[in-house]
Amino acid sequence: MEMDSGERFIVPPVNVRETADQIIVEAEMPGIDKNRLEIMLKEKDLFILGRRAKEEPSMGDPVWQEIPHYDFRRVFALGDHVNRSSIHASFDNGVLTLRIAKAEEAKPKKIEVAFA
Amino acid sequence: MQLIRRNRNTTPDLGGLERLQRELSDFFDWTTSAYPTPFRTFGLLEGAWSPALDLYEDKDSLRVVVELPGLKKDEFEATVHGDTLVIQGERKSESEQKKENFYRVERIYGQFHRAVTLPTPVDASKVKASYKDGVLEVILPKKEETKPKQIPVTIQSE
Repeated sequence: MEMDSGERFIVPPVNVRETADQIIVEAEMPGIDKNRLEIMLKEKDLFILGRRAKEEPSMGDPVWQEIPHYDFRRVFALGDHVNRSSIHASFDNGVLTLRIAKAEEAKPKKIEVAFA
Repeated sequence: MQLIRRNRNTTPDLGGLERLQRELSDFFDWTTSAYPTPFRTFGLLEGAWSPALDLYEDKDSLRVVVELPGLKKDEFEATVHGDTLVIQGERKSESEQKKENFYRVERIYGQFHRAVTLPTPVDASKVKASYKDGVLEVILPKKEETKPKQIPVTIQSE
């Protein structure tokens, strides 16, 4: 987990969007087994890691290769407006989805207007 | 030879100059940031989603592996046309479906098309494909006559 370990990683492309009460992060990590995902909070940083199997099954001799066979890693800095204790993760068809709840004070408040 | 064929599909929301500026800025962020983002050319040069593809060969079959994360079964198809394997489909943009605020859109949407010229003839009727964890794997058994055969050699003495 050191930043400068010299290990090579793929930085997965992400979409980040916001709803009224959540921040939703989607990260593409194709070819990763669900059991080899690691999601960690370290102070303000949220780490997502996808480890490839130690020994990938033999596919034969490579004729043409474009897929980099490294682990996936990405780090996000979380602001104070999120609730760090409420992060929900799911993994579907190679896409990791994190739902991070906003802190109460960051949620939009509906203001009741009293009509005279 | 049409091993790599890419289609045109530009990111819809940015003009060329803005895109260039963003790419340069992304590049400097990328080289200096503690939070690296993927470095890729967002359609400036090629303008296409071209999924990464591997091709392997062993004595019985060819195997094509394509990264297609987050697709549904009906969003892509694989077909064999003679000596060419074609993988194509479309990932629909979620931003059109959900009216939510996006901070980052790095995932690529739209159509893709890959065509691979197969190095040896395959038996199209026995091709098998599976999709797991966002990866499509197509196994194409070689035609019988192209498999290596041991030919017994008899030496005739005169």
